[in-house]
Amino acid sequence: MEKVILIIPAYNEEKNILKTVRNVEKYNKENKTNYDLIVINDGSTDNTQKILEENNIPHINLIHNLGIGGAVQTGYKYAFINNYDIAIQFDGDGQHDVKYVEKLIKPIIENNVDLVIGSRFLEKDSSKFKSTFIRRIGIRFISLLTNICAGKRITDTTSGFRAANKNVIKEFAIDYPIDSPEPASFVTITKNGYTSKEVAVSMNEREGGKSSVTSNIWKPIYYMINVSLSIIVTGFKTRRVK
Amino acid sequence: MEISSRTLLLFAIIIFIIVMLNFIKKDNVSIKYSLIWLISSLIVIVLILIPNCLEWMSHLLGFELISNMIFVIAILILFAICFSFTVIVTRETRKIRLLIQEISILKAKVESLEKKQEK
Repeated sequence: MEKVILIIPAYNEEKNILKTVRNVEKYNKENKTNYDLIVINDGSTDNTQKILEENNIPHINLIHNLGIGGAVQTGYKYAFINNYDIAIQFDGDGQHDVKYVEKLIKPIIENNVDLVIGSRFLEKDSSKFKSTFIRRIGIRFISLLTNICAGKRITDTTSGFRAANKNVIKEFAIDYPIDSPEPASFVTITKNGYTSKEVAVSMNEREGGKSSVTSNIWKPIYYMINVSLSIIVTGFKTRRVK
Repeated sequence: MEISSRTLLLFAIIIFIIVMLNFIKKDNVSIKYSLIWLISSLIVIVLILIPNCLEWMSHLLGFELISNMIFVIAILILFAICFSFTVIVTRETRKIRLLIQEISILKAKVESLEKKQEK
């Protein structure tokens, strides 16, 4: 039986984190699954840490805020140290549904795929995910750029809902693109000869908290430039020897 | 260049070197990063002390005014030094991130072990 862990990054998620964790526990009980989880508290300034401690939720408190990329990488390091077979990135704000985890890990177990990405756009009608026009254009642009640089087409490059096998866990533990984790890491993985696959998932509207990208007017602009650059640079990086 | 402006420059650079050495003594500037400043100061001193050296150089490089040549060279050197700082900052950021991650993982492990012992 594969050891599976959910990496849940949390920054000021006092409203959602307990519910997210309880949902996973409930799912484990009902389906006799055995998904471990680790919450990475990214230096939250609210009561997130207190909630995690009082409820005995496995967690790592980062001693200083690192941003989403640094927090997720900590999760991969933890998964690597503790010898997990599969690590899944899982949002702390209720956007991701634990019922899709089984679908995500299936290609890894059965077909030896290295990285599985949960896509919102693979099946059109399955997605309840709504976003603004501008945001959709942004996602389209990033996807196009990623597909060109990686030389492989996927529909949802910015999806944070993904499962990694042992090889990819090790790769991410050593080197994780901090500036635009999702698209650039897909480029790195593909360039280094790992296999990847998309499966259709649907995501919920975030229940509380704000998107890390759209909290003020400059952030999306900065994000777009930053992400585009880091995808292109990653695309040009020479292939590492495994 | 006039004698008076040469003296002024020389004087300024010597003060700069003294201040720099003082910082190094107090461990506020590491020798590694002070070298580039000290070496460029020494080069400027040599250029000032050799008579007609700057005139000859600016003529050779095609500058009409000596001051133009000095400004262009100074800006290029400062640009290079600033850029090296960007490289240094990036490296340090990476090290700090690694430290935060490793310490945080260790801390979580220690805390969970302590909890186990109490039970």
